[in-house]
Amino acid sequence: MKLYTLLIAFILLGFISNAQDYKVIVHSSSTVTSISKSQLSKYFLKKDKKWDDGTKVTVIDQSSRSETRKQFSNDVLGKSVGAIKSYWQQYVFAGTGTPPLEKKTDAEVVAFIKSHPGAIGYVASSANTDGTKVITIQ
Amino acid sequence: MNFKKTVTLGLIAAFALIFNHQSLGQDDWTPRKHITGYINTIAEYSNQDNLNKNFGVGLSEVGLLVTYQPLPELELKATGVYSHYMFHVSQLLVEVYGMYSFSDGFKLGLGRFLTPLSPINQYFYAPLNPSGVVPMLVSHHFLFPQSISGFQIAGEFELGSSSKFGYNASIGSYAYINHFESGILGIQAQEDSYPTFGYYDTELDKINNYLCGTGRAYANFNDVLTIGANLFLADAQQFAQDEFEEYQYYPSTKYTYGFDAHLHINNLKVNAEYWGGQQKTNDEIPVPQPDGQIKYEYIKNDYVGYYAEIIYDRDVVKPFARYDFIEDINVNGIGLPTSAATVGLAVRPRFETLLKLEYKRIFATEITDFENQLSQDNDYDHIQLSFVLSF
Repeated sequence: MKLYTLLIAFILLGFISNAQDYKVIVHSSSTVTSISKSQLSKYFLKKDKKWDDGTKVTVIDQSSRSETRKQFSNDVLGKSVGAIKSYWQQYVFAGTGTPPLEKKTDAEVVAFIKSHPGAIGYVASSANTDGTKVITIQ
Repeated sequence: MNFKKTVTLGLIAAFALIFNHQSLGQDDWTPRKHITGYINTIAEYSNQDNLNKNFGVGLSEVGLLVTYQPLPELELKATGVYSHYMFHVSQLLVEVYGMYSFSDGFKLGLGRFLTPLSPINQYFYAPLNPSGVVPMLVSHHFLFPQSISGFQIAGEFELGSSSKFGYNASIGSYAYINHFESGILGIQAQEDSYPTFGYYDTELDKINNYLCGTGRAYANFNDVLTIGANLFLADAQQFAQDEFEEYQYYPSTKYTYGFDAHLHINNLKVNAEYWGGQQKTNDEIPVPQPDGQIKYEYIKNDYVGYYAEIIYDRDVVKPFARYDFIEDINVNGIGLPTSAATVGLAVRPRFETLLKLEYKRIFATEITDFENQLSQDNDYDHIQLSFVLSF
């Protein structure tokens, strides 16, 4: 019986640790309410640079040491933060692209997105996102 | 007078356009800078007979890149690379340019660029190359130089929802340097000449700058397949013996062309390129004949180079295999075709650390009798361990 209890606790722990610890935010004027992971990935890898209405997307990333970024990177981009840095290193040396602007804290990401229509970023689930719009990931 | 007026008005219009873009773009723009770089230290071994030493360890290259984007439309980039065989401080500046983007379809750049032809030219930067060694068609620089300085235009257009067409063209000058050694032992970039001549010392005082032009067009389909066509046209110098059997450099003209294809399916990448071309003296030059007579004739060299590589890219681990071939040296009618087969492994457990280990078999030709135009195989091995720190 104890074994079953432990097993269930273990599975629950797994679910909890895999829970989404970040939320995606956009400018309050945006008409977007949800986004797919693949589209989000395209924006953050700059493979797509425009919203559906043709306006320019401005992507805001978090510091490479951020725990939120680690989870976002693995979950949405399907690669570790190190692999994504290698990806951008290739583009920068090739002169074909630069990585997204990075902000050190959730508050800085929120402040930037508040003042930049067309911006998109992510913050920790617990972050105060007043003044921005939280969109769901499909 | 009319010409001056036209130029003045043109400049005013250009500045007005640029500053108008600035004022529009600066409204919500945060200037961006990015710094990255690497330190590449290698250990290499080769059993080539003519080497003074067979094993070497040392700092192969250090690269530093800085980009600054004061405006959304303007990017400034500087890349400096120190290498073990650097002979002049100007070689440090691989790239220093500014690129102004009028639209995705039209960008204008000026400065010094990594020659914008074969994408494999970017393998010059160690973190971008799964191998520690650059394919011979790039490192030997007989098809195109590493860098050119001048003007460049470039652009990209969407073709439907998932394909792109891109182009670039440049005009400028380049330093005529072939077979300039790299690595620590000095055999890299001289793989074909070593068996016959041993170490080939570049005559630095004979290096000149020449006018050149480049053009490249490519298409990308769904981020899976990219195909490209490249052209390089240039003034050059031809190395040949005169009537007194002294070596001279003669004014020449060079053209080379290349085709490249890159396939990327899931974790599998396949890259392949084929290049050809010719260099020919501009005038007939005195050529000593076997019977002692002097005959005036054009000297021309035909060039061929190709490679194919397959990489299994698992982010952290990248095993790869490569085959490359070149034929760029012709001595009194005897060619030195050289090919190489390489297998290796690149391991990058984190962004900062990259380890590469590879084995290469070089299938080379050695001239044994110049008068009777006799040659034989002289194959050898090369093993290299590279450790790259990125930041």
